[in-house]
Amino acid sequence: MPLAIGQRVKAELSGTELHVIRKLGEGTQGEVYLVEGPQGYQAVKWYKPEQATPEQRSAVLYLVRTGPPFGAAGRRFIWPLDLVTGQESSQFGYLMTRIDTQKFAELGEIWAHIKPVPNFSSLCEISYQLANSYRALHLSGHCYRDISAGNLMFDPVTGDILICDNDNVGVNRQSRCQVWGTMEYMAPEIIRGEADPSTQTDLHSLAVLLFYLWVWHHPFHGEMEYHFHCWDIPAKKKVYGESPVFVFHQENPANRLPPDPDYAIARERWGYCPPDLQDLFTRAFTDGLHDPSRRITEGEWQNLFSAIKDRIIACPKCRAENFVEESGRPGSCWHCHASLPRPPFLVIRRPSGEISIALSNGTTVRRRHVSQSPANDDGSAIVGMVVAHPAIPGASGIRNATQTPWNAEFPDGSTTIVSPGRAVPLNPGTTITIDGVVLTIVAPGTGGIS
Amino acid sequence: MPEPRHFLCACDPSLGWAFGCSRMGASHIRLSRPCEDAYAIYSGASGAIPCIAIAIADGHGDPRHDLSGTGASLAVQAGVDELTGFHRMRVQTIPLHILRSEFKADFPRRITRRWREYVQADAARREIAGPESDPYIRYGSTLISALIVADTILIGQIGDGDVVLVRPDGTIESPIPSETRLVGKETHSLSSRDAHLLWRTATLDRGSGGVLIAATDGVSDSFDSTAGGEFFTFVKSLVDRVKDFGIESVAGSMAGWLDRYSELASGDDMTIVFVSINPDENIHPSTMHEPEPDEKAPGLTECW
Amino acid sequence: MNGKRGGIIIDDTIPIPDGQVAKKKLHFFWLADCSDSMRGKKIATLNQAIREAIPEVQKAVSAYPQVEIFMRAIKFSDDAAWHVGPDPVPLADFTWPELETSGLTATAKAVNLLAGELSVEHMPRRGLPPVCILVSDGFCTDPRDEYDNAIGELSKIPWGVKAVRLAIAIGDESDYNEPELLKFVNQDQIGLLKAHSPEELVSYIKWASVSASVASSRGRSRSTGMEDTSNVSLESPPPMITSNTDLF
Repeated sequence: MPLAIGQRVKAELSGTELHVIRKLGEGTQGEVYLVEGPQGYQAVKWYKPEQATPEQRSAVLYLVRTGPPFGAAGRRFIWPLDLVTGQESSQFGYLMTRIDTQKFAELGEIWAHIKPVPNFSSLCEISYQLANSYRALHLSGHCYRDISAGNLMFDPVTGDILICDNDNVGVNRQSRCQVWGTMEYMAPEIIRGEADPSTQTDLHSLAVLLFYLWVWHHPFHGEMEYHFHCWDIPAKKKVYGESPVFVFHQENPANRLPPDPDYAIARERWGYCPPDLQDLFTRAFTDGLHDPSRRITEGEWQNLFSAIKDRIIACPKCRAENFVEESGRPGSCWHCHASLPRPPFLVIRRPSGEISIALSNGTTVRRRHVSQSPANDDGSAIVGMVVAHPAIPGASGIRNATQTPWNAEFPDGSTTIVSPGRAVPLNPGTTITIDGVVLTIVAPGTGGIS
Repeated sequence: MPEPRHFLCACDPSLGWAFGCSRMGASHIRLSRPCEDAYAIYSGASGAIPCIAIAIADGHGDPRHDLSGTGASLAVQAGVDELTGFHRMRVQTIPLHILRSEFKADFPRRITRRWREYVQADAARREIAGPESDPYIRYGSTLISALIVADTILIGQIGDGDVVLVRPDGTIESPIPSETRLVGKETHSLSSRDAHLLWRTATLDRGSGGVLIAATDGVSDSFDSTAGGEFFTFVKSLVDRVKDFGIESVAGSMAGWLDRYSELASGDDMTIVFVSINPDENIHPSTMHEPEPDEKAPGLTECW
Repeated sequence: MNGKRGGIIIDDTIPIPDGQVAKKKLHFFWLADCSDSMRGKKIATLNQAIREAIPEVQKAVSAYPQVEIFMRAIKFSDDAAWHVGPDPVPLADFTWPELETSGLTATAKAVNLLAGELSVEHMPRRGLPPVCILVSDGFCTDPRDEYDNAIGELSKIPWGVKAVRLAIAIGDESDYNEPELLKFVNQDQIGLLKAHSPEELVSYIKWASVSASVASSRGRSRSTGMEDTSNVSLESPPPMITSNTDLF
């Protein structure tokens, strides 16, 4: 039975009373309500009677007691905060924080033009945060089991994400789940009934979700799905579980994209993906299909999205974001087809390896580029920014956006202190030292990335 | 009893009944243009499980969309065919909450494809063009389609038009998020290249039932929007007229009313489908508490 | 089910549902230059021309009884201000007050004032494309940046893009900046209308106001993604031959 406006419910563990303000929406398992209590406005997910089972109740209590994964990565999960009950003893729900749905969007809203389309930097940030958060979840011994676009919300402008509907989180390899869930995201071995949900099956779902975010299409929707007149359960089991074939499989043309106009957008958006991203998707949906150990780990996704985000420059003509090729070869703008200049790079030597950032006006250097962030901090603070030179037309510099001065050494050997707010001109060969880390400015076309 | 004129009706005793009415616009009549709206209603059962399916469509008026009247007819046919196919295949084999997520995941893609197939077949019959060219633009149309089955109402919309649900207590729900970025006479269309992405869907509990009203934009355009939603006033009032005078009288009067609105106000083709949905007998009616006004509560523009 | 009619017979036993009906609104804006250089014959002709155009627009749009035109006017000299407005006036009630001249040519400020009125907050979301007619005889005296920014703003907002925007230049071609005025126009096939004589001014004002209103009233729905940005098509203006030798 749904909740009524004005009804009083109780948060069990804290013992506080909440009252129902209004319904916010409906999901497949229950409704979500806006409530008010001593902590202000929050949300309650209230299960439908057939979902309000003893198993679900235990699951919610377990999650409430365990809490979300630690740190910035864990804070992106909208986690059950408390068990919520009403007068009737059989029904229950859970308390969670409210989401600002003016700011945060679902993928379906982007497709239907209800919210703005995220640009490439935001898309890299969304993807990075997704991999980062699921990594934290897996490290804490849990698997998600129900990864899908329906559980993801993101800010199209900043790329910050929120992961919802966490009541299906289970302990790795110990929990059962119904095979009915969103089959398009399920690992083939689960659909075939050969395995239980685990962090490895989550990796398949994560790859599918990332593919949806980038290509706006399912990796297995090609000729096979097109020719099924009757899209029923047996048809889905075949396409997603028994004989899944990647639509961009290099060798196997069995499931290519049909020539229908509906597939134009998928072809286009696959073309926008840089080659190294395409390679990971290909591995995920060829080798990774049948060999879970070949699936892309969250660490690999994180490293990739971090690296390609650093290869984005703005087209000098139309300002559209473009990925620079790894080799630094010139290309043309995907939007206006103007030829793109080769950018200068900033090369940063870190213990974990080398980072290369392609530079154009507006490029930012972040805390995570120069230091290992503590778990509690997502490393997004801006440390430096590339700005146009006020006196020399066409030239740029890097401005110190921190509170502490930098040391810079020019190619001729002269050194200078770069106070907060001042900018170093992009003089190739110049090194800047920030907190002991050396950043080198590299000229265009001299192979910025090793 | 006056003889019912100019409307179609469909009914299922457990779920409810539906009627529809479509009228050529006043400006279309004057300019000798055909009616470019269409609608379809259906009630039937798969096994022992009944359903009601409805669809309304509005063909685009621009000269580039010269076959849009046909496009609209094919659209409502595709809408009802896809929904009833969906019902037949799933209702008996999967749990109901999965029905909703399947609808959201698959319906936009499948119904767009079905419309394109119907258009291809029509174009071939007219010997318009070879298979490699794109005939869809000429048939361009919007579509709103809904299915009422068991405890669920499933709604999908592409393009302009309105669909609202009036609950028994009088509250009006607009379950489909509005398309806020287009102005003037531009609309998303089944003929748009990425049509399968442009759909907006909603899945609702049948709950206490109510009246689902779907209308093409000629209807809502006839009402003053600056006064804050005179269209909603019309909708509520229409529900009251049915309560007071009965469905047959209202259905019989609808054609005249739509003609009058078109003449006085929008001039467009006018189509309306009215579905009276019975409450879901499997749930107990909830006791209603007096809503407490709360000015501090976050704005009602938020939706989940 | 569709379209058969034998006269409207409303069943009188059931009252029609409540709900205030409203016709489709067409918003019409004059942007009139009343700078010092317009003094004398030019301003007199302008005042006369607009007064004569109003009944012609009314007659032309009577073919579209579901359309209701609301007219306003912005005047600009040292600054831009409402000559008739800011509240829209139904065409049937619209009268043109005598426009007097003084000062400079603040075209940018006029465009800004217009853009403000075409914003999403001020305009209904669905409706007919607004009509905007700019009449000027000289260079804009506002800084070049200010003018370009104003045009940029206008071309960014949805109703600014969808509007039918025309411009009429008065007098000798060396007195005004053609490329500058062309930036206001979004009907490429029409270009800038150049009135060299009072007769031409009257003719162009009538033609522009009538054609634009009719084209907007016809407003047919179309799917997104069509290549051209303008969604109304105007026929070509009449050829401007005259034997009149009056100069401005």
